[in-house]
Amino acid sequence: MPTLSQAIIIITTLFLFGYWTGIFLLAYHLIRFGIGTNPRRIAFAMIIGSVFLTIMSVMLLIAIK
Amino acid sequence: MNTKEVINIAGEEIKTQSRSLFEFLTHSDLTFEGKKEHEKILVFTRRHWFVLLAPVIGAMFASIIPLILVIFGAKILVQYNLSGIFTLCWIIYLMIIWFSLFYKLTMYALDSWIVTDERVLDVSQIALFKRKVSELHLTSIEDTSVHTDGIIQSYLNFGDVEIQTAGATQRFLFDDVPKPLEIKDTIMTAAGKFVDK
Repeated sequence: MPTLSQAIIIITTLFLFGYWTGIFLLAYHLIRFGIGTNPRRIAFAMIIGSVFLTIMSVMLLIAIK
Repeated sequence: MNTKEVINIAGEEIKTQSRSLFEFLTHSDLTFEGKKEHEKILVFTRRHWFVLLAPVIGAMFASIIPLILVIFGAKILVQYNLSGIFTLCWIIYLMIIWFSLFYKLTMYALDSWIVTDERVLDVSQIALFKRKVSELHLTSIEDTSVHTDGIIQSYLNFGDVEIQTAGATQRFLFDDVPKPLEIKDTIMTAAGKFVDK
């Protein structure tokens, strides 16, 4: 039986995995099918923001533990 | 319409000899899948930026909703030592909003219209794995019309361009595109030139 902190870690890890799968799919579509520079800029901004939010969530996860 | 004007409509830039690390963000050869070598792009456009305003403002409001919980429930959060988990939930909530916003931006960026000196292409990104590309030869164009509706569309100069084809049922619709009159004129001029060839 996992403890509460273990459960939070497992749920957050699974969420992050799903989140980054989605981000990868969006970035792939933007770069593969996008015409011009705007789709690439959108992909770049999305990835930068996602990295920042992921770092924040991991830091908070460590703090909770 | 020359290349520079095409770039203005699309808000894009054409490739130059730059070699910076982030060149891919600032330079593009403005081409598309299936483009013939001799084919010249006359218009490349997406919807007007105004259509993005609602999702962006919605995301901004949604992201500050947890602040209301902090203001009214700060005492409880501190009393039960829940501030850490609350902040983690907030960040996860922000990540969901971030993803939703960029999903909409992706659909916006991949939904486009292209007019070349031979054909008109309508690229519709319906969902992430649902994409429709329709093509119309310039010889099939009967006439085009422009629809602008309301103060905002008139003031910001965007609207719909509808292309009627020789077939009675088929029609092409450029939805909420910027500078619709210029696009209509370009299409009609290109169609006229193509027929004269």
